[in-house]
Amino acid sequence: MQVDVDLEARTEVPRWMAYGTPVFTVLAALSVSAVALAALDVDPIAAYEIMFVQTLTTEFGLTETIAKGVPLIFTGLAVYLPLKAQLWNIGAEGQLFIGAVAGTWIGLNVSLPIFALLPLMFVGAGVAGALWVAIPAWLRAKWGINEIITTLLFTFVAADLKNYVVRGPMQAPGANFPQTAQLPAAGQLPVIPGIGFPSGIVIAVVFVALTYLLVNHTRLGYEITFIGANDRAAEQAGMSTYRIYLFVLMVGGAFAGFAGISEISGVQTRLRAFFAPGYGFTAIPIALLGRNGAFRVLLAALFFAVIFVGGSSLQTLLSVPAAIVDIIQALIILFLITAEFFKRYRVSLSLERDPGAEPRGKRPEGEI
Amino acid sequence: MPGAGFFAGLANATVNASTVLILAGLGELISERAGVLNLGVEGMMLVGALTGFITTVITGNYWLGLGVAILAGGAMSLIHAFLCISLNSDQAVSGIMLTLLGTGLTTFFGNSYSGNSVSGFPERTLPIVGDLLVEIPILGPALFQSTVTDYAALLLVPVVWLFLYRTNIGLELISVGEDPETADTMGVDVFKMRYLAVIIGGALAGAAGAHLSLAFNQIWSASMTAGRGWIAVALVIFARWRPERILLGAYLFGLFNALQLYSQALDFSLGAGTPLAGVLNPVIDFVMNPTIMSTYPYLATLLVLVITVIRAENRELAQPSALVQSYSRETD
Amino acid sequence: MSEDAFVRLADITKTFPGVVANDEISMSIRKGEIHGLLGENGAGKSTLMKILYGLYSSDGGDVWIDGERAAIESPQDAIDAGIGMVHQHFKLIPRLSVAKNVVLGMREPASAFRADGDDDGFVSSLTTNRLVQGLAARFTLGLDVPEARIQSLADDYGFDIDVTAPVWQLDVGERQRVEILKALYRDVDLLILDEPTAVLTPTEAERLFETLRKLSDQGLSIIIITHKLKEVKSITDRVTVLRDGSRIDTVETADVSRADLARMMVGRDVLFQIDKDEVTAGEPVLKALDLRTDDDRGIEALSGVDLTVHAGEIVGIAGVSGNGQIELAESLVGIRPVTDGTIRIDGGDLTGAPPRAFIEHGVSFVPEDRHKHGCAESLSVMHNAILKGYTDEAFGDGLRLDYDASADYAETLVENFDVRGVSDVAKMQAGELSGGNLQKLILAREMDRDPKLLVANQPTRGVDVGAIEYIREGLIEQRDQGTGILLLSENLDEIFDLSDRILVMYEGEFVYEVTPEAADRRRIGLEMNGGEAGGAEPQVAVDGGRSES
Repeated sequence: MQVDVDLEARTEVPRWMAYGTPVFTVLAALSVSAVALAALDVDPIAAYEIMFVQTLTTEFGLTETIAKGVPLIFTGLAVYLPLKAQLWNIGAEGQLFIGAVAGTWIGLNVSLPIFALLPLMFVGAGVAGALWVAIPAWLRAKWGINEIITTLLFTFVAADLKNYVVRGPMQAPGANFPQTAQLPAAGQLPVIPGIGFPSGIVIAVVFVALTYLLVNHTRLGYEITFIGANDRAAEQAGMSTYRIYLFVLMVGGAFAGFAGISEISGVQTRLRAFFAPGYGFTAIPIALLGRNGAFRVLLAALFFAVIFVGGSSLQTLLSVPAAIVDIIQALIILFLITAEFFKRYRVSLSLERDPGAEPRGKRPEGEI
Repeated sequence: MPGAGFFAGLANATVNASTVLILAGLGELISERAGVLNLGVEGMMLVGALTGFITTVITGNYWLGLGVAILAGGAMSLIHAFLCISLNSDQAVSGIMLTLLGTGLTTFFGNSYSGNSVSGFPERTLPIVGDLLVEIPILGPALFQSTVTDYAALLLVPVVWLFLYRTNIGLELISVGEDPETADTMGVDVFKMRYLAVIIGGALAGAAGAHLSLAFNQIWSASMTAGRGWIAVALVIFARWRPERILLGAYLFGLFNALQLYSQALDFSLGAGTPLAGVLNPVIDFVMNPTIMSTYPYLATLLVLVITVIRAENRELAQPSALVQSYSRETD
Repeated sequence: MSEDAFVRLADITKTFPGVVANDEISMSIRKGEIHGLLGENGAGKSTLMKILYGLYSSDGGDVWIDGERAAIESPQDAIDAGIGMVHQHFKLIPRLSVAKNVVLGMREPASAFRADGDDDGFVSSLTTNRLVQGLAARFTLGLDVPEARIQSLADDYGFDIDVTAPVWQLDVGERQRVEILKALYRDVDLLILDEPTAVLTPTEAERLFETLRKLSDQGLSIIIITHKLKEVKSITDRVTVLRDGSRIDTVETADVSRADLARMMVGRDVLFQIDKDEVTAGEPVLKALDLRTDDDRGIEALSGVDLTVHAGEIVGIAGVSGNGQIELAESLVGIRPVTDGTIRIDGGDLTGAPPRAFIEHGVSFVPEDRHKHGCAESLSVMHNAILKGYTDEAFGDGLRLDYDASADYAETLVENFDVRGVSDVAKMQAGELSGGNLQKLILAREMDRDPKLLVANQPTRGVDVGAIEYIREGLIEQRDQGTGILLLSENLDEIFDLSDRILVMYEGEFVYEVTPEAADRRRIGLEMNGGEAGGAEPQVAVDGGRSES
């Protein structure tokens, strides 16, 4: 038992690490990806210059980043909120599909002026996403069935359902392609006059702020946080894990639904069979990076948006496969969970051992 | 009604589609029986498929290709093993990372091979009695006119069964997935066994990938696994963590897959005169729609999962008790 | 039984932060004896045995086996040295068969590869080849020979066990026999049993003792960890008593009475006296009638308990752990459903109500395990300070939770209850507090709400001496302000010092009630162990009053 070590570790290091980890992670991931780039005879410096500097300094790059950022912010929140209660919503991608289908259907079949139609599409997409995750949420809350597996399985079902509707019931009349008709103008998110940014960003930022308020300034947020930290103590204090688990997953599903319709309404303008953006999976590193607050989710989402946009520029300009984006994402997760270990490791060192609660099955030398 | 030729074709397609699932499913099963969930099957399969393919293109030797694929799958799984077993990382997150990494790496480095074909494992009959076995109606050609990897996958089912239930290593592997603390006090090396299981899982996923690119398709294209890795994960749950049920499940899932190809030929619509035809026919069309049919493996898995959990209270649970639980002596 | 020491522990010392768990303890175990290791919870019994079994390393001292110094650094070393241990929480894998559980880790090869078979040339050379042996040990598994051996061991000791049955089908007693078989199969010379009767019914316990006697007759040495005097008297040859980490004495069991043992175990009459004013108890704040509830395994843990706690009194529940105290505490605060009976808090019927209703009716709770149930270690002191009060209007109206007010409140608690080591209540994690300070924080949170009823389960366990005193004074103060307090403690000193009334709990019922002034410690110690005194203690009368009036 190392009493001296843990005293140092507990006060200083975690705080430093909390800020240092994301930076370290991103730099490490970019360094390793540079090796992959060099293997294809691409100058990594030039590539990163295109990826970051050009993306962030050109109007096109910025607009694209914002456009990509919107669905990423939503899916990021969709994973972030359940994670606050220690639940993994791995299936944001599926909820996104269902939201896109529902929202697009409303946009194509309801005729209303833009100020009524767009909100209706978002509400429809949100409700659809929430309902889509309701079964996994209920199975978790009622029976304790692992939400990771069930939300994942639902994602694949959702992908097939989406493929089905664009080839069948929702296929554009007379079209050969597996896609819906184009949304009417009233169903498309306009750009912000003057600066030309997609207006979806405004909605996304509003929801980031609402999530922040929910988690950090409400009793419900307190319950979510406490259940995430120790569900048994929370239940003894009268909180209902059943209620909270349903709530966080279904609100997460609604966020993912927003992501789907914001992408269709703001960027794609129609739903295609090949629409599989992977935003739901990118949400996992986003939520991990932004674990400590909704506004960090926003920043992390925008960061990944830059990488997405930069990745496509690389493909256009240097013929580098856009898959470099997947590699960078994977490496960020890899370094992030490695760093998590070192944070936890220090924390576990600082745990005081209670002589009443004797640890079982441990060898003494292992305690060090 | 469709004739014998139709059923032979369906059987053949079923068996062909199932080999990948058997290989990857058995690998995932071994990993999970030791307590480590690996959601990186899709990524490891892709890496196996591409490395095996490139090796075969360069050397012309598909056996070497298979060997490299197995090594590459094992190497990928080593990352997962290190993160989950040594660093106690979240198994789900690490697995998804592995899939992203595998997808990214293979798309990135496989770009220049995209669409290339290769001459891989040929279909053979078994020696001595093979020519007779092929004569068995419907099932003969499906089962006994196959590639070596098809035969190997079939053979592997009893091998894995024997390994898990009839060897000491298997016993220790299962014990580590059930209760690592108890295993530790009984002198079992928890870390070694878990590493072993995860690496076997990765190697088999690599072999599954090589089967895809060297035997099943004999071509490389990005993301050619097309979600089979996820089906393999589902299959393990469907099989309730028993190797013999993997075979059954793989054939069932393979049949769903094959039916998609043959669904045009299957017309179950009711004749115009049949009562309720107007109501039932759209339902039948929906149920038999190829895209809808591809959701069946997932729905079947969900059903099995829910039934198992709800019924299994206080009884023998199907799931390894320590699945997704990290173990270390230092912390609780 | 030989007089020579077979296993000898010499000056074993083990410290945990702030606590000396074993203070230079020496003891020896003879060949073929049953040796009791007696002491209260926290006396250091389990720690000492875990050192002997290689689960802990000692900070000082040696283990000698058969006259040679033994380096035991892991359970495997202990097994190799001939030591086996039956843990209180069984180390069995329910899905596997009895035989597989027994042979796990032994790598028994298939019978064809056994070296001990008949020796006909080629086959025997193959089976003795080291490579073949190694492969067979890994890639075969022979259960037939082990099964036969386990069966014959089981038959020897009268265990009626199907060795091929999966362990999940066995009941608790059978599982314990499997644990013993595991040790016997490994040819141990010394068997340690950690509170083996804690999970057994009296009949099963009697069967276990018969087995242990048979084993000792065959020359096996046995150490049995217990805090039940009755067991010590009925089964052991000698007994070593530990108290507060030190060895008090080792005696021949036949030479001492249960009363002597109780005195040795519990120690001097009073540890430290707390000034306590006489307070006249007020209206009843808790009235529980015929309360019944099950434990986590679904076995009845409370068998019809009547309990009344008045405003301004401390009712102390004494008892050996595992006699229904946790279940009593949990059902009285609404977190364990009752199977029968009623609970009235301050006049209102709360039977079957959710935990929140109990909190709102003024019930506070200090759980036994503060880490698992009392706090969220990864959250701040502030988050933990408002756990019970976060719905109060003081912390914001409507949906809003006012963290500024919460932080102010947490600071007040920290200040008023002398919680030390907190720099910033909003940033410091609760898990970073020391055990005593964390417990003070929890107590502060529970008492600051001016509860009608406070249920405190083991409030000072694992807490340093300074904090113990502070916590006890805090409880008295709370009583003086009119709170009714139910104090559950395995520490008799604490019960005596604080209580206005003492109830003794045994096997899910109250068996004895007394005031501290009128109480006799030895009598209470005996009642905790089931009451009826053996022939060796004529001075202690047998009290027929097993039922609570």
